[in-house]
Amino acid sequence: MSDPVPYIVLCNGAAPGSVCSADQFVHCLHLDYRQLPEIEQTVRLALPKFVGSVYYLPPRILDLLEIAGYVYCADRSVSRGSKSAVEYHKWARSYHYLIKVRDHAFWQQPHVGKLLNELLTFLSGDQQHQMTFLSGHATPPSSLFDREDFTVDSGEDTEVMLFSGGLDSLSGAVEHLATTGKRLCLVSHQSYQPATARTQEQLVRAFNKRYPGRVRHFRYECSLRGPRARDETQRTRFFLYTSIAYAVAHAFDKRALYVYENGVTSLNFPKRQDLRSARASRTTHPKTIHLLKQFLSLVAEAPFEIVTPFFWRTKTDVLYVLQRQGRTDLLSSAVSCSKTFKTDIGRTHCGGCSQCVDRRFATYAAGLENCDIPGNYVLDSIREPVPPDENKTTLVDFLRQAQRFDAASLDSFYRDRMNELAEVVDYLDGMDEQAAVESLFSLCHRHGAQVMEAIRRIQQLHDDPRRSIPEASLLDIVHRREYLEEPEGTVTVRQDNAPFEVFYSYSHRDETLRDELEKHLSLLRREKVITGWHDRRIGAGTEWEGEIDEHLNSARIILLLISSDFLASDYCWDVEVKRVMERHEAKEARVIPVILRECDWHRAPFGKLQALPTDARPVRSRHWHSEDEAFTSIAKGIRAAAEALRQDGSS
Amino acid sequence: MGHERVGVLPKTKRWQSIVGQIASSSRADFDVSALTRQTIQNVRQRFRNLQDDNATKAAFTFLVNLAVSSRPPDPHQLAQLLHTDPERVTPLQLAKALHLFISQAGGLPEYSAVAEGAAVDALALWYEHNRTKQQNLFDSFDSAYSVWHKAGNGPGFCELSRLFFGKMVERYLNYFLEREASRVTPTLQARNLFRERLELHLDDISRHAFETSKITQSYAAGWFNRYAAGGMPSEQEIERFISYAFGKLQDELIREAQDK
Repeated sequence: MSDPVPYIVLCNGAAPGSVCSADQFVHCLHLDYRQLPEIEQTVRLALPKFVGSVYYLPPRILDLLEIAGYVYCADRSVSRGSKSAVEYHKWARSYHYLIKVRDHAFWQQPHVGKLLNELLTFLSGDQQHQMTFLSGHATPPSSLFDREDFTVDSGEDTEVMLFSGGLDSLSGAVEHLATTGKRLCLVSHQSYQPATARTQEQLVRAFNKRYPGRVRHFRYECSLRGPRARDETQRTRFFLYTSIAYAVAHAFDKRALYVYENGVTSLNFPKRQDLRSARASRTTHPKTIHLLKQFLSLVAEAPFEIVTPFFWRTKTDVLYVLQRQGRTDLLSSAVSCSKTFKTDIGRTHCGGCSQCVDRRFATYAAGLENCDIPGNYVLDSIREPVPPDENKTTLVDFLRQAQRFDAASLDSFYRDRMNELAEVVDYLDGMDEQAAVESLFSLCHRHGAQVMEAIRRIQQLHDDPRRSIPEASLLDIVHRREYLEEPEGTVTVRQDNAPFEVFYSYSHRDETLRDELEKHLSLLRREKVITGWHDRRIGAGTEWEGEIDEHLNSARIILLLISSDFLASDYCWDVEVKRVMERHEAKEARVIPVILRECDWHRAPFGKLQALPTDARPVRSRHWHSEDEAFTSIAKGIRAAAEALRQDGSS
Repeated sequence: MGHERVGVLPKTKRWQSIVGQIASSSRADFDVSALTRQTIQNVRQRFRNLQDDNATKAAFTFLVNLAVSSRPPDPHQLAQLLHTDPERVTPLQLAKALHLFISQAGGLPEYSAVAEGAAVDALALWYEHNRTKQQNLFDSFDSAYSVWHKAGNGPGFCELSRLFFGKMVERYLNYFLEREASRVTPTLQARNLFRERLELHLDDISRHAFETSKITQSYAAGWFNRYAAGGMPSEQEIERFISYAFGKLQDELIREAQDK
C-alpha cells in the first residue's frame, strides 16, 4: 500500500504553477471566500465583519485567520472513509495547501510550515498538512477604522477565553467573573449552527445581567459552502478557534488566552483499539496545547501562553465550580452535545454521544441531576432502554474505562496507559515524570470514582428493587437483576413502602412550570415517597400514545396542571382528563388539579376536586410572594396526599 | 472536544457472523478460539500486510536493539542507543524513544498504531514482571538497568518477543472486535468477561507458540545468540524472524480452533 496522493488545496486564488507536478492533480480543492465576480465562493468567512469588531488586525493575523478557515474547510471537504471499512486507511489524509498570503516573508520560513504541519497532523490524525505560501494577496480595509492607529480598549484587566457554550467553558467563565473582577472577552467560532449560536448568546446575556459591562463576545463566522464529505470530522476546528482567540488577544495586547476544558476530556484516552490516530479527538491534549503555544509564539514573535486552568479537574469537579458560585441555574442552558444534528425541537442534547454521557454522569456524581432537565435529552440513557447502536457502544465503553480507572493502582495505570502517557508527560509544564504520572493517575482515578459514585446514586434514585428494570437500560447494563425473575405461579405482593408514581398531565406550553414543580418534588423523590413520569420521558422511537396510556393507568397520583393552554389542549381534554376521571371515580388514583395560571376551570369535570396550591390560588398570580412559595405549598399537598394513600393502603 | 468516532464492522455475512459470536460470548458454550480463527481468516491478506509493514519491522527492531544493547553489565550502550543520559532513562522514556523510532519508519498509520501499542505493552509487561519489589516505576536507569539486562540473553529475548507478538495479535484482533463488543454484549459484566476471555486465550496461544512449543523457544533463543551476538542482526534476519513468529502464532490460532 503506497502513501496517499495528497489533496491539493488552492486558496485565495493560488495557482499551482511549478509548485506541483501533474500527477498531484488527482484531487484538487479550490477554496475561496472572496466575493469577486470571477471567483466561485466556496467558503463563507466573515473576516471583514470580524475585523470590524476589533477595528484593525495586522496582515499576518489576517493571514492566520484565513489559513485556519481554509484548513477547517478542507478538513470538512474530504472524506475520512466509511466507519464500516475493514481497516481505516482513508482516515489519515494528506493535504498540500497553496495559499496566497500578505506577509509572505514570515509564512515562507521553513520552520513555520514545519511546525504548522506537526500541529495539524497531531490534531487531526492526518498524514500531512503541507503548506506552500505564495505572495501577492491583499484585501481592502474592512472599514474606515481599519487602520493601525485605531485600537480597541486597553487590555488591562481583560482576559481572552474560548467559549463554546458547553459546561466547561461556562464554568470557566463563571469562575473567572466571580473570582477575578476582570473583564472577559469570550471568543466563539460560528458555523451554520443557529442553535449553538443561540446557546452562546443566551449565556452571554446571563453573564452580562450578573456582571454588567464585563463580558464581550467575539464571533467569527466560517463555514464551508461547497459539498461536505459524507464521513466528515472537524478535528482541525480547534486550530480555527484558537486562531480567532489569538487575533482578539492581539487586539487587546494580551500575551495569553484561556481554554477551559477538564483534563479527562483533554487526555481522551482511547477506549477501544480502533480509536487510535485521533479518532478519539486530541483537541486540548497537552501536546496540542504545547504545539499551539509554540506556533502562536512564532506568529507573535514573543512568548504566547495558552492557559488551561481546568486541566487537573474532572467534569464533576467542573460542576462543583458552578455549584460553588451559585450558578447551577445556568447548567441546563449549556450545550455539551457533539451531535446536535440528532436533536429535535425543544431538546438540546442527543443523549448518546460521549459528551452527553459524560455530562449525565457528572451531574449525578455532583448531585446536580435536578438542574439538568432530562427532557433536554433525546435519549435519556439513564432511565430508558439504550438502543443497540453506537449509543450503547459509547455508554458501555465510557463505563468500562471509568471502572478500570476506579479499580486501578498507580502501577496498573502506568502499565496499561504507558502508550498514552508517553505522549503526555513531556508537555505538562514544570513537572518531572514521576509527578506527572502520579497527577495523571490521581485525575483519572478520581474520575473513575466519581462515575462509580454516580452509578450508586442513579441506583439509589431510580432502582426500585420491587420492580423489574427495563431491559437494556443503564441499570440493566450495569447490574442485571436476574435473581428477580419470578418463578411461575408466584403472586406479586405490593410492598407498603414502594413509592407512588406521579403522572403529570399538562400542556407543553407549561413545560417550564412543570420543570419547576419537579424540582420542588425532588425531596419526595429522594425519600422514595414518589416517582415522577411525564411524556418527556418517552424514549426516542417509542410509541408515545401507548406509553402515556401505560403510565396513565399505573400512576397512583395524577397531577392535572391547569392553565388556559391545558383547557385548550384537545389531547389533555379528550384523552387524559377522561381517563383520569374514570380512575378517580374507581378510586384507583388520587387526582389533584394544580392551578398554574388563572383560567375558568371550576366547571370542568375535575372542578369539584380539591386543588393545589392552597385555596386553589394560581401559581402565577399576585396571591403569592414568589412562585417558589406556591410550589412549596403544592409539594406539601402532594406529600399529604401520598401519606393518605399509604394509610389507605395499610388499613 | 472529547469526540469519538464510533466504528462498526462491515455488514457482510462473514463479519456479521463474527458479531453474532461476540453477542453470545457470555454463554457457557462460547468458543473464543473459533472467534479468533474466523477473524484472522477474514483478514488473512491484511494480516500479512501488517507483518510486512515498516512500522511492525521498526517496533520489533527496537526491541531487538534493546535486548542487544542490554547485554553488557553497564547501561551505557543502551543509553547511547537511545541518545540519552543513563540517569534519565525510565520505562516511559523507552516508550517515547520507541514512538519516535516508529514514527520515522514510514509505516501505514493504522499499522503503526497497532505496532506502537504492542511494543509499549511488551516493555510495560516486561518491566512489571522483572522488576524487584525494591524498584519503583520511576527509578533512574542505573538502578533499573538490571531489569532490561535480563532481556539480553536467549530466554529473555524469547519472552520479550512473545509479549510483543502476542500483543500484536491481540491489538489487531481488538481493532475489529472492540467496534462491536460493547454494542452486542448485554451487560457490562458480559463485556468484561469477553475481554478477559480473549486476553487469556491470546496469552495462552502466544505462550504455547513460544514456550510450550520448544521449537519456537529454541528458534528464538538460537536466533538471538547467533545473529545478535556481535551486534544488531541484519534487516533480512529481522524480517525472517517476524515472518516465523507470526506464522507460528497464526498456525497456533487455527490449530487450537480445529482441535475443539
